[in-house]
Amino acid sequence: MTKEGDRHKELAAMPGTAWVFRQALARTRSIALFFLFLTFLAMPVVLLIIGRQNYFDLTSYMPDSLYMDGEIYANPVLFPLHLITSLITVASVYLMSGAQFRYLFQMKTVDSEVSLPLRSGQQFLGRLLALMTSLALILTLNAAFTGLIFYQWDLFSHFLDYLRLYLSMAGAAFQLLAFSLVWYTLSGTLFDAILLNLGLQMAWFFSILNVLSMSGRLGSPPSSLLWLLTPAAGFITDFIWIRPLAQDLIPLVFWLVLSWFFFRRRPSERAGIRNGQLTWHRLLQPLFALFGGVSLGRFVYLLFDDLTPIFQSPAFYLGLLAGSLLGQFVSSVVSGKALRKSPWIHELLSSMAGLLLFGILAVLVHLCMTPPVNPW
Amino acid sequence: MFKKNPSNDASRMSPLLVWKRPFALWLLPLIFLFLATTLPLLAERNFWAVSAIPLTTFISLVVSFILAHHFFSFLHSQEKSDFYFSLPASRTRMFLSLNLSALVHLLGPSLAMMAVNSLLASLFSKADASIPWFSLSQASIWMSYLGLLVRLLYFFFLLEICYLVTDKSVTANIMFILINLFWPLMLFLYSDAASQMLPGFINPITTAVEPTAWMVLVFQLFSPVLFTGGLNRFILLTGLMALAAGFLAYLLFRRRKAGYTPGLDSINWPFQMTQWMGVMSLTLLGGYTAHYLRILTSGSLAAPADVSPAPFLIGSGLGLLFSLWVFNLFAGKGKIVWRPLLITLAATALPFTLWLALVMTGAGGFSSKLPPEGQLKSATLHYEDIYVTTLAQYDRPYTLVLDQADDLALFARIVQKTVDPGNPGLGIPRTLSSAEQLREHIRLISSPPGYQDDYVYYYANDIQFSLETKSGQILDRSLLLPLTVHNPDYLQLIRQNRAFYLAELSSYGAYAKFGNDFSLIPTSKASSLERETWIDPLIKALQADDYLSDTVIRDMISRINLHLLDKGQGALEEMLEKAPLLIRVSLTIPRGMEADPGDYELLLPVLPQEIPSLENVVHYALGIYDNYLSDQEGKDSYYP
Repeated sequence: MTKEGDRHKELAAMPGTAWVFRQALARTRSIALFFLFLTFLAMPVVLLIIGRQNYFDLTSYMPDSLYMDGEIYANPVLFPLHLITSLITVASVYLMSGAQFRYLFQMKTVDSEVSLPLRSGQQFLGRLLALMTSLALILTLNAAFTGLIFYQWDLFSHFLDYLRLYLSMAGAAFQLLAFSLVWYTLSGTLFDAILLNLGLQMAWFFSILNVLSMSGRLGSPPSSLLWLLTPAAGFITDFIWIRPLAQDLIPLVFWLVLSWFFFRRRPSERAGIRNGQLTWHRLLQPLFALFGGVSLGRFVYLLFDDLTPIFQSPAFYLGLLAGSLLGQFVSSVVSGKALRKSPWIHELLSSMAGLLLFGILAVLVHLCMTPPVNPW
Repeated sequence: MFKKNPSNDASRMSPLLVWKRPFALWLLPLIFLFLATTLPLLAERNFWAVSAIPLTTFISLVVSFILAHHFFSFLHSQEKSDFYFSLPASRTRMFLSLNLSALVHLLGPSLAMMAVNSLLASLFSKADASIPWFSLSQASIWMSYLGLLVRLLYFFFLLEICYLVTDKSVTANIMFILINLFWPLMLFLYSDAASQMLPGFINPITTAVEPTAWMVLVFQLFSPVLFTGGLNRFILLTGLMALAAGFLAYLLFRRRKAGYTPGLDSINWPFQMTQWMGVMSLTLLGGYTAHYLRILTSGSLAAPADVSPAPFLIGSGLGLLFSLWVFNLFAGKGKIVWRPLLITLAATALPFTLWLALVMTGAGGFSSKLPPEGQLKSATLHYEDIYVTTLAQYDRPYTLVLDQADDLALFARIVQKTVDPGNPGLGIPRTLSSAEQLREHIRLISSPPGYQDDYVYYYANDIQFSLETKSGQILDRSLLLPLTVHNPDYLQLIRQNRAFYLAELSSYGAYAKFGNDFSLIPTSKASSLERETWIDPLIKALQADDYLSDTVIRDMISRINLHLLDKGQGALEEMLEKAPLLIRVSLTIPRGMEADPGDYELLLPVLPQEIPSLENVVHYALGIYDNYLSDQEGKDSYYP
């Protein structure tokens, strides 16, 4: 019995997920507190400075902000505050996740963390839980104080109306967090992880917008394709098109599982290696070729041949081809690929894959979507 | 025959190390410059002429960061700096070689594309002459490019200095970006806040009609990215600044220790300097945000009579806390470090509090201080809002000096009305709305009696003036003065000083100060040809449209007035003698004011051949009238 008890004590004293969680929470405590302060500044403190009377006067004659085609799901006072809070939340996601996982990018720190008597699943789970707890605390406390102010002002219904948009922002934040973890676990340097994260989202968002617009399928709301690789877009688009909860939840689970999978298989030796020298990076490069192709194709089309329908314009296809090569080249240079050593056929194939992706997207959009009805 | 000098070998730097760099450093800028500038030119899009330089600027700025990192990041790596500094080359040779290579990479692509574009433009481009700003000449584009090159040099050398005084490339880049941002913000915010809290204080930044050399020097010192003063101007000054920055970079390069290890050997002063600028700026920015948040959400466009300083103080406190916190997190790599926090708090809160105490208490009566009665020697009025349209340029400061005792007494009484202790803008403690409160009070007392309370009648601009006392003391102020006919002192002053009346009449705000009637009177000096070609058509044109009449006559009065100012006393009489056309200006005396309208009647000579740019104004009016007539069938054109 005593031996059994000692064994339990010994096991309990050994570091596990809870230990990693506590360590990770302590690591980002200062940053989390700072972001809590920032969100307080952006919402409850601003509301207190504005004062109840001014708030009431401003919102009583126009309960919702307007945009050109309809309404924004926040009143004229809460809308700008929500916008600032969203930006702060995006920054907090990037900084806190970077602080938790930056040890992966230096050989010395990886060695010391890997040598701890912990399984990789425990390392990942502890850090992930700490990140989610910090983010949830920031968002919950901010909402609680804001709600308290509205309650004190006898305007709690305003807060309840706004809560839907706030929850949608929180969903986008968690989805962005999970999405970011995938690139932290895959990348070799912190710089590359952040650059790839931002670059991918930008490339996908603008490529899809361009494809939809060129095909005459850009309606309100646009296709769900837009948010597939762009969780950060939710922070902006949710003002106008609030997505169903499942649209946040499914990608959240998917990105989390994927990041956990990559984390477990991540070799320690990857620390410090530029993404361009890693094999998986080649699979993503067609996205940059797509972005370069569509952007330059459209630019050249607008400059030289804007009276012809875009899909019949030779100028567009010339620009598309040049842009896909340029997109591939820039992404290789920026990601630190040794171009002198890389066979040119690989680069060419990647560009062609970008063009193929464009073709597939354009055909799919044409076949599966109907053009929006012009209300005028 | 020639003996080899071993010292030459010692100062030789391998050309391979200097020049053999990734070809992407040339290729990428060339591609992007081609896409941004050459493609629009080939597509014969006329916006090329105006977009080429801004896009070249943007691409070159991005390339500057890449090149600075590529050529000078070795300074932040123990191994690389050991390698570089152990090469058999002097520091001077190394500095010159690296900089030459970096600058060739920086300027080469844009220079090449400018040359190609110029060639293509001369072969293909069809400039649209109907849009003047689309058809810039090659010479002006190259002049702008020259200005850009000089500014890029200064930008690059300052960035290089940041690399030389820091121990990490990230710190160097962040420091450079932050000083570019915070330095102009700090200058602007503190000078603006002083002018808002101390009505009368002349804010040199916002009151300057165009940037002066010292403003360019001060702003560009830490913020080359602003390109203060535009690309075409201050090229010599910026060139000198670039030379000085290059020399400083050279000195720092020579003194740079080889053995810095990032994180272990910390160089603190660049961070502290950036931090000081940042905390000072963000503290005041917090105050601004909170104050204007409160004011702008109050729903009233005018400044309320009673403004609380509390939001400003709370906002400043929060701004101070935020900025201290963020810089401390940055320095402590995500953790709070208390000792530096307290030192920075002392270094920023102390000067800020002293400054705040000074401006919030009115700086010892700065705004209301006036020379004692009878001590005033002269008053010089600087008119910034002289009526000048695009038809005529006037690039000299327009000033008027009052030096007669009776004029000065009246002017002093006008100023005294503004700085009266009852003016809410002069109450203590001062706020960021003090200057606006002072203006609002003047607008209210300058409106006609019984005018609607919620709608202000008098909209005019602040006027800059200098009061010189007999003892030689000069007070420079910028204030909104009650210069309207509802003020008996003003009415008396325009009656007894015709130069002042003319100056007032020539300003943009004249319509808010008094009501005038204008009429054109042909004289016996007008020949029949003059009557036929422009005098009678002009009278008809101005009778056809009240708005055109008002604009054209005010413009003409402004031209005549500026000419009279140059010619001096006696010119008016001489010109009236020979003028073929006169403008009669009559003043509408408001009800309740005792004055004889005849005392305010002015006759001004219209001599288009003699008065510069007056002919343009006349032709402009006739041109508009001609267009109006052309639109109506069966009517002849008056305009030749």
